[in-house]
Amino acid sequence: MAKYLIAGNSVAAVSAIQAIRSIDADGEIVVLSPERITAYCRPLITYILAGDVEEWRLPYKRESFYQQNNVKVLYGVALEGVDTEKRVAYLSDGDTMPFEKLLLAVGGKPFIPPIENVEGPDVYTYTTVSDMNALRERLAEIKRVVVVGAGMIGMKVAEALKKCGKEVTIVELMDRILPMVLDRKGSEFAERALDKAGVSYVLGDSVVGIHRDASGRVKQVELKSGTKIDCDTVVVAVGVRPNLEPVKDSGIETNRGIIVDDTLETNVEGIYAAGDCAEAYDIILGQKRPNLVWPVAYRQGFIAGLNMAGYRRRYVGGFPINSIGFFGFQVCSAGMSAVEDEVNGSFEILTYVDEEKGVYRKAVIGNNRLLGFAVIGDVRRAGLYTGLIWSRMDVSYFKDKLVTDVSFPEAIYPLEGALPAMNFSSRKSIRRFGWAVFPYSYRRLFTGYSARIEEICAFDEKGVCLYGGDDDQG
Amino acid sequence: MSAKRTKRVLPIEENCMGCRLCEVACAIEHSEFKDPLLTFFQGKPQSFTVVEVDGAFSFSLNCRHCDEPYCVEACITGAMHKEHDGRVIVYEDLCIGCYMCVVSCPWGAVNPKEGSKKAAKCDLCPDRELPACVQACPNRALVYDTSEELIFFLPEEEEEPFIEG
Ligand SMILES: Cc1cc2nc3c(=O)[nH]c(=O)nc-3n(C[C@H](O)[C@H](O)[C@H](O)COP(=O)(O)OP(=O)(O)OC[C@H]3O[C@@H](n4cnc5c(N)ncnc54)[C@H](O)[C@@H]3O)c2cc1C
Ligand code: SF4
Ligand code: SF4
Repeated sequence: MAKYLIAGNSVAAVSAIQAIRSIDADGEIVVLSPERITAYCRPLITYILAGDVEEWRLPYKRESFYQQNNVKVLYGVALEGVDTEKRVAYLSDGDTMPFEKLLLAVGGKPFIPPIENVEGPDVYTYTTVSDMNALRERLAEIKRVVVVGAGMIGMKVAEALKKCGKEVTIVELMDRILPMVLDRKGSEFAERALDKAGVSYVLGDSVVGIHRDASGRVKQVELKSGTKIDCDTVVVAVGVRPNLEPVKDSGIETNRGIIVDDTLETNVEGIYAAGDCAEAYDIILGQKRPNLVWPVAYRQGFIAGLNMAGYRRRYVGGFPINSIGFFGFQVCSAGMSAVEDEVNGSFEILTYVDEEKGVYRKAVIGNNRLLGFAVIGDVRRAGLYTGLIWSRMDVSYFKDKLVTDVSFPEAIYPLEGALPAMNFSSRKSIRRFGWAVFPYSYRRLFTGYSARIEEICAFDEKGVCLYGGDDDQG
Repeated sequence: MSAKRTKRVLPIEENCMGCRLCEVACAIEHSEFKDPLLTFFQGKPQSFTVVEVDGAFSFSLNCRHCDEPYCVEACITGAMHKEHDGRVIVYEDLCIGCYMCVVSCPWGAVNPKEGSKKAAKCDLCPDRELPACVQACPNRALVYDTSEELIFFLPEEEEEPFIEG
């Protein structure tokens, strides 16, 4: 009987272990890790393929982490099903394991679109170390690669393969590079970097079929438009979806991901989910959705861990935060940054372009709140925008500076005019309202560090702050 | 969970004149030369603290060394690290310059390092007893202390009950 059973061994699992151990020093923790490796830095696999980073840097945590925290890891064992009534987990080695609390941190699965002949050799996805090793094994014989999808993973793989001296073509269904992050204008900056690096790309088209020779090896891909591209390898990177397989037919509620409430608990008591597999609240959309990025996985794992150990902590919400660079192009973004037009006036879009320096800044505002941003080129202090999203504060009165300046004190220390209607306990905290402020004074936050912006700035519908104060936070 | 006793650099906005001496001191301390002239003529001056000015109002904004740091959560390599003494430090040799931390810190306190693809942030001056910015401030607008001790000196806030809306 495991007190805490954690399925998955990546960042969400690691932060959950840390959180559990900060409260419960001896409860037994068992981790299921189908990959025979300690938790590793998943995004590094493209850097290692490119040869930019040595392989020894791959582990995120080493064996000593599990020993110090007294965690038992079952390598090579996956979760295959859950019996929510009997509270046992079915494992891939045929065993069953009863548990008290279960954390589903099983991550995401790469999505493979319907492409003719996609099954077979020479076609890869790229999300795990074994994918990396498989590609590296054949690296010497690879000459021309088609990367399907110009998202984060697709672009990083394309960069890595180009650095290995391969001829790379990227095919993207949408009309722009990084379609979840960039708009057309932003994509132009990325395209320029690709042109300079000598990587070809096809936008607004998709791969419908793969042609193989008699022995089954890839020799060509066919696009919807009829174009054919010669290649010997295809990397499919059209996106990652939450991994729902282990909870199929278990009674645990799922939608696009495993649905969790504000303590990251599923509809079944004592079963939690965190990371890429979870569908939790998104503070920008105001509804639940999976956010498949590292910082969100970390935070969710941490909060789930605290709640599993019996310490109630609310998950205020998250939103996608990303930073990606390739071929000298760099973009930092968060939230709904790709919004292209001001749909029925519900969004306001501010942009700043400096073609010469290659700088592009864009902010998407809705209902006077910052909903998303993308900064290209000069990413200094990009985090200030993220802070504005966390705090959901009114940005209308310093809008003129929002994208032209890299410093806006208003964001941290706003003036009286910016205040939403809500209850305050002290006049001073009104003047000092902002994400760094409420319900304590600005300086109080600077001195009482345990507070997180999103927690002090979380209000219910009536405008009452949900933050219980420092005493509540442990 | 939290390292409550961490000493931090705390700004006192009433005292700040916006003179930016803290920025200069920080840039010199963290240059390879540790010399004003060489730093600004030959080095790549970069200050980790930034003086935010809005009219007559200003304060020096620096890393908060958060108890639950956003930058550490976001770091995909573990290069950004919270030490046992509470300082949040970036280990440059592990950093790959992905800037996940830059986009995550809501205070804009981590930035790309001038001239190299690494993250750079306040390290609370490990070679000094008092951080350079605090020592340089002529107006006592920066103090280096633990939170609890500082609270002790703060003037009481007027507690006027007030309901709006
Ligand atoms: C190439 C690449 C680059 C990326 N770059 C970035 C980036 O720059 N910034 C960013 O924010 N995010 C990036 N990401 C996304 C980021 O890696 C993920 O959001 C993060 O790893 C999610 O962590 P997780 O703990 O939820 O799950 P994952 O890291 O997906 O791990 C899932 C874990 O569950 C295990 N597992 C799977 N099935 C089972 C099962 N049935 N039973 C038990 N265990 C199971 C797996 O072995 C693994 O240990 C990148 C991803 C990739 C692939
Ligand atoms: S860099 Fe930012 S997020 Fe990190 S500890 Fe400092 S203030 Fe907190
Ligand atoms: S830039 Fe360096 S410190 Fe920052 S998140 Fe990336 S690896 Fe970590």
